[in-house]
Amino acid sequence: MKKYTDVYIGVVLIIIALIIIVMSNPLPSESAVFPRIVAGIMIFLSLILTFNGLKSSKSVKDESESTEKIFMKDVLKGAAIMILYLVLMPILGYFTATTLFIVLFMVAYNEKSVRKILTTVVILNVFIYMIFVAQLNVPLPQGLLM
Amino acid sequence: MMDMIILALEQVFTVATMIGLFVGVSAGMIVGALPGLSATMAVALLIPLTYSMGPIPGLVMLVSIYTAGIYGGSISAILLHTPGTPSSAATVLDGYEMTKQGRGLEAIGISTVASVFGGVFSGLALLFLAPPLSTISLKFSEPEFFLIAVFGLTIIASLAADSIVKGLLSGVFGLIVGLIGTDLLTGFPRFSFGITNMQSGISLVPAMIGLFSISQVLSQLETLRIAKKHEIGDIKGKLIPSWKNLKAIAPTVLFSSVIGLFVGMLPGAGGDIGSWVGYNEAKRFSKNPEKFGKGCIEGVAAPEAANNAVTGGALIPMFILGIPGSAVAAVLLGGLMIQGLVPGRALFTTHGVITYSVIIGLILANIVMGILGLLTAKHLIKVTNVPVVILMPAIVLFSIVGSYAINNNMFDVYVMFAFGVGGYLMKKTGFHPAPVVLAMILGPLAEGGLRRTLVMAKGNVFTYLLGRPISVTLMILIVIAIVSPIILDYRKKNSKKLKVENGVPEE
Repeated sequence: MKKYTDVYIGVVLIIIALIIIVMSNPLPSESAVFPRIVAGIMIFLSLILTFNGLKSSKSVKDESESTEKIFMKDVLKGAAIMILYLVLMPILGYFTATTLFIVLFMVAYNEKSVRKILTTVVILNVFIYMIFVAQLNVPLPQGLLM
Repeated sequence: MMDMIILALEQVFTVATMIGLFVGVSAGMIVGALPGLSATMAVALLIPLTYSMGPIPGLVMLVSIYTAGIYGGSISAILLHTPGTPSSAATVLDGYEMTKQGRGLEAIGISTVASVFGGVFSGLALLFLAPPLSTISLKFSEPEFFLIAVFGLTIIASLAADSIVKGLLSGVFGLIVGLIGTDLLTGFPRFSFGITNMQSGISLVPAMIGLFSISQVLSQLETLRIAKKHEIGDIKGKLIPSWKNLKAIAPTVLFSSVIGLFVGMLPGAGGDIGSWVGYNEAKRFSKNPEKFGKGCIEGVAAPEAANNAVTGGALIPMFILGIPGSAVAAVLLGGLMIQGLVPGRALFTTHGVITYSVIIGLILANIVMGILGLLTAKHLIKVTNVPVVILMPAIVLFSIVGSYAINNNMFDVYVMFAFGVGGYLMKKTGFHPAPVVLAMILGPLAEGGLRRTLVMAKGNVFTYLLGRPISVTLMILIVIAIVSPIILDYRKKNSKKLKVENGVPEE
């Protein structure tokens, strides 16, 4: 699959460029000039990318596993935890959601020491509170229950 | 100019600016020393804090982080065999060798002196070269602004990514993001899909934070499972360089500083390229090139002087034309514009006091960095003991709270996260986030310039542009910017080969 990445990206970008051109139709002509030029350049470059991708996919066989070990599962897990954090923040309020996020993150990545987790939670929360709430008066999300 | 410098000195020696400078230098050194966290990320993360600061303390803090971050990277390069920032990769070669020979502290001393000199040198160059050069921008009219924006985009795109096509496409992506929102000239909303938050456009700072920090967090997660604890080499040797050593490195340091300054001025070429060029040239001109790689002090001094000299150099085109000389400078440009400052001649006349204060702040930050470095390097290296599993959530927290604090709304946080994921995917597929940021900044400039040029040309735009000497020069430069990467590509491959040959681990 990996050898066609550039081809896929090229095709997707061409589609995006076409959408931009279509979307620029109802705009006043003055506002539409620049988007159309950008879209045109994008199509041109994407064609080169796709073409190069096709060319190199023929010469190179499927790339063998890269030398460094990479754990995509860990990346997806991290992204999922962050998304959950973002969803919960407006509901639970900033500091509750943050505490939950830190604990979840550290447990998910095999931190077993309860003391370490608690220390991290306290230090980070206090630090953010001191700078952003006490100093800068940022109204962080309070949550629905407050 | 002198009277403005005196006024600026008064502004620099205020409590607020001094606090900004010390916070910047300390934060920069810590982040720089931590492998995986770069100076670019540090500047992006701290920009939200500058919102409520005055322009002088805020901007002085940001430039302090920049130069101290580049220096901090050398400490891990020397003691851990891992560059703290990509700019210190070349320092690993001789720096770690010295640590193995029990001369780790000596290497840090040399690196500190070289970094301070490179930084102060480029700061002075910025102070004295930028004001006269800025008069160039007075000769610029709409067509030139359009072309300079295009030039900036092509050159950064051609230097940053794996291939020039991918670099340019990264830039084009940034241009499209910049299109979102209300068209400033007609007041028409464009590409906002009827979402109110999008009608005011995608905010630059959250996008930058996402692109440079969340994407880096995701990259780090790839290998978190097998991340091993850094082994700190023996901290031994004499920290304060001897007079003999100082005399020995003096020519190298001066030569490397000049190289760094020029590499910095080149749009898109940052500290990482500067330090390799500095190292290679020092080796080439050395009387005993065979000593390099075996723990020679020139091999530490050359890249460290060069990468700190890049900082001031990178700010020269940013201040006078709005074309940043490195990725960090692109982020700094965002910080500058938040304060309502626009690059060009006005920065040295109307807003002169601010600009000169920032430049003097940069010079001073280098000196403070040297003193702090000599005092704390031994202890600073311990921050690398902080496990990644604590560091990563901390960066996520700062990214989120920082993007939220700008407008106090969650939409910016979602934008930040989306750009973080996007930035990660870009890096995985050989694209680069730096041109995206630059294009978001330069896009509106290019569009405004182009549209007004079309009006001014009244007919054939091309013949109109050919009748303007500066425009012709810029068009030639754009062509060079597209063609030259082929040559630079060759050089880059060479330096990569050198890296592999000498066993420098990737950051």
